Amino acid sequence: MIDQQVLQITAAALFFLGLAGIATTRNLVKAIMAFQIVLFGVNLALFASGLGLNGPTLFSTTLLVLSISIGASIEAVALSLVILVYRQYGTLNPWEIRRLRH
Amino acid sequence: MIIEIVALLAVLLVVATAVALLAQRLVYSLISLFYAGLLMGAIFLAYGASYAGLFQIITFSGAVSVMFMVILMLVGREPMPAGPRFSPERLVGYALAIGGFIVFAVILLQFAPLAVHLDEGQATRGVDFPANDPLAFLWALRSWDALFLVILVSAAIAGILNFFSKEGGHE
Repeated sequence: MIDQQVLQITAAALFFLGLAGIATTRNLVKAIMAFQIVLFGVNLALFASGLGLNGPTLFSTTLLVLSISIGASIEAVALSLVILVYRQYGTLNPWEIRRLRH
Repeated sequence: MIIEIVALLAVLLVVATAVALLAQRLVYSLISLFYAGLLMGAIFLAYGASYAGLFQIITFSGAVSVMFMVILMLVGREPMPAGPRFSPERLVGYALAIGGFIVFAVILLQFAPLAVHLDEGQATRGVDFPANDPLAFLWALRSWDALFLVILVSAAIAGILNFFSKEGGHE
C-alpha cells in the first residue's frame, strides 16, 4: 500500500466520521467540532492528492494553507453564530431551537 | 520507514477524532480535537511540508482550540441532551457514514491514486490521462478533494434548508 492510499483512506474515514457526527449530534458546538473533523479529512485528501514522488508539491501545499485559513474562518463565524443562537433561545439543541422558533 | 510512522499517526488520528465525537462531555471532545490537530500537523511534517504542518498546528490546535474553550466557558454548562443512542435517525447517519467509507475505501484500494506519477510542473499545469482509466473523470474534478467539497457543500445546503423550513422535521 503506497503512502497516498493510506492518507486517502484516512481522509475518507475522517470525512465520514465527521459527517456522521454532524448528522447525529444534538449540540451545536459538537456539530461544529464534527465539521472540523470533516475539514481535517478534506485537508488530508488535498495534501495526499498533491503528494508526488519528491514529496508534496508547492502547489498542493499552497492550496492546503489556503484551505486551513478558510476552514478556521468558517469555524470562527459558526461559533459566533452559536453564541447568538444561545442568547436568543437559551439552548444549543437544534431540535429544541426549531420547536422554539414556531 | 516513513510509511510506518504515517500509518501509526493516521490510526491515532482516527482514534482521536472518534473519541472527540463519542465523548459525552464537550471538554473531552475539545481535548481530543486538540490532539487530532497535532497529529494532522505531524503527518504534514513527516512528509516535509513544514510550513503547512506548523500552520495546521498553530491554527487548529492553537487558535481554534482556544476559541472553542471560550465558547465552552460561555455556553458549555448546558448538559448534552440524553437522547437515545440508537434512534432511527442516528442509525441512518451511522449506516450512511459506514457505507460511504466502505465504497471510498474499495475504490481507493482498487485504483492507485494518479498524482503519484506527477512532477511539480505537471501538477500545476494539468496532465492528460489515458481514456481507459475509470477514475479519470475524478481527476478532472481535481480529484477527491473536489468531490468531498461538493458533497460537503450539498450537505450543508440541505441541512440549512431543512433547519429553516417551517414544515417537516422533528417537532
